[in-house]
Amino acid sequence: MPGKNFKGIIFLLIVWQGISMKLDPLILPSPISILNVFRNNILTGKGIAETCITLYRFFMAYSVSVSLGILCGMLIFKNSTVKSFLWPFITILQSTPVISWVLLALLWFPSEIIPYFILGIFTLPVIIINTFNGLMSTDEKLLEMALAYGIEEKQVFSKIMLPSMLSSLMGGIKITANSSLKVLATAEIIGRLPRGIGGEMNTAWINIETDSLLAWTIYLIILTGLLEKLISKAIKIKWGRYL
Amino acid sequence: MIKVENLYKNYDSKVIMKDFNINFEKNKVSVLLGPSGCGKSTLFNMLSSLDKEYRGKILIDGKVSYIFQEDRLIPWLTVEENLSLISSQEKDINGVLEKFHVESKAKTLARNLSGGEKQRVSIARAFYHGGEIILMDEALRSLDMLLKLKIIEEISDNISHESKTMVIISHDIQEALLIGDRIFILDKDPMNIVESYDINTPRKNRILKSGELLDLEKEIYQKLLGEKSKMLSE
Repeated sequence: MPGKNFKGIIFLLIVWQGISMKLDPLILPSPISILNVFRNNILTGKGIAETCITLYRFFMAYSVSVSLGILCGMLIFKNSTVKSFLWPFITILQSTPVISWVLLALLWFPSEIIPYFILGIFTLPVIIINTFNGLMSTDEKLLEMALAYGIEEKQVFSKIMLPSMLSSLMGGIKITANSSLKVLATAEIIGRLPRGIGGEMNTAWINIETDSLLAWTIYLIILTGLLEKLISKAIKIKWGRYL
Repeated sequence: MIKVENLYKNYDSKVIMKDFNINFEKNKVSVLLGPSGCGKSTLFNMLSSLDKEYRGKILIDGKVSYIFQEDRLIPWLTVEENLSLISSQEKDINGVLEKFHVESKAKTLARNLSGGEKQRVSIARAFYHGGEIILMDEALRSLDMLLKLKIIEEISDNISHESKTMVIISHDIQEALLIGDRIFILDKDPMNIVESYDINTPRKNRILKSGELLDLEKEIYQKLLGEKSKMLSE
């Protein structure tokens, strides 16, 4: 319903503009002033530069976490001893609030490392569990067929088990990819990194530039949406036949 | 050839088979007719080594190709890929698909086939596998009569030309009469052979309306009905 959404956005902007006229711009700047900051960020190239830094951190941390998560998921599926060793850690990782990890990371690591660590902690358990559940959900009847026809174990894994796992894994990737960018920006803010979207939000907050803070926030929302769409499209192209 | 001697099989306290003996001859199609749950599929699982927990002897002279009740095709692979996966040798996939009238679907993903097409591909897969023994568990039930007759013709040609042993589980007496060389009527608790019939009419001349087969159909029907009413009265 794009028409309905558009009307909703217009209504929100009108209400926002109305309220902002009654308040100090430091508390709630007007949508027009935010739009100006947004435009300046784009025109000066600052927006692109900081986005590239955040995206670089995102893809570095995310690709390593996803790869490691898949590997661990497969390991705990294949080996029950590994599972009994790793499962408590996975449960701890998943049940501990992200903010606790952020605070611990501040004590443990230099600020440059914090976003990578937090993103890893956030992504890893979801990917491990989804990989494991996906492998567990392999259709028993297909495995029986493979056994009856003497299909090699290597082929059973690559042609039956891995594709069976993909649907569950892709669910995990979509969920984590959507939230990871926001988690990464949070880690950039708390780690007080000088660059990146989170770094710029932190600078805006220190300098009490509310319009800049909100402009970067909107920037982050748009970027998250685009990234989610990009990942969904890439998944569909690459693995669509398995889903 | 398959020789089954003194087979014993149980699930907990329920005895499925006890001193069960049966032979399936080479170059012949044997059909097993019997009530649901009498152990026919269990017997197939034992013959194909999927179930190894039994006592007794099973002698099989060759590789087994199993056509399951469900198609069991890998949905994300094409028809061609489904077939090539079960054999490491380069063989003529299209030739086999042609025999079962699904050659135009070679590049189609298995999930996009209709129910009947899936079933035909699963039969083609068994023939592509090339086992000397073919086990078919109610695989023709989702096909329409005309296609069923065509497939039966193909199967019987293959059996006689390639000297295979074929065993079919069916609930359809007409299908059994059209395809079988020998029909076994089974009963349950534990599984036993009630009666067996040899059909000597050449397969191509079998028209169900012919007097001889019609009489046999009635007899088998009576036999099965008899077993059923016996079961109900128990």
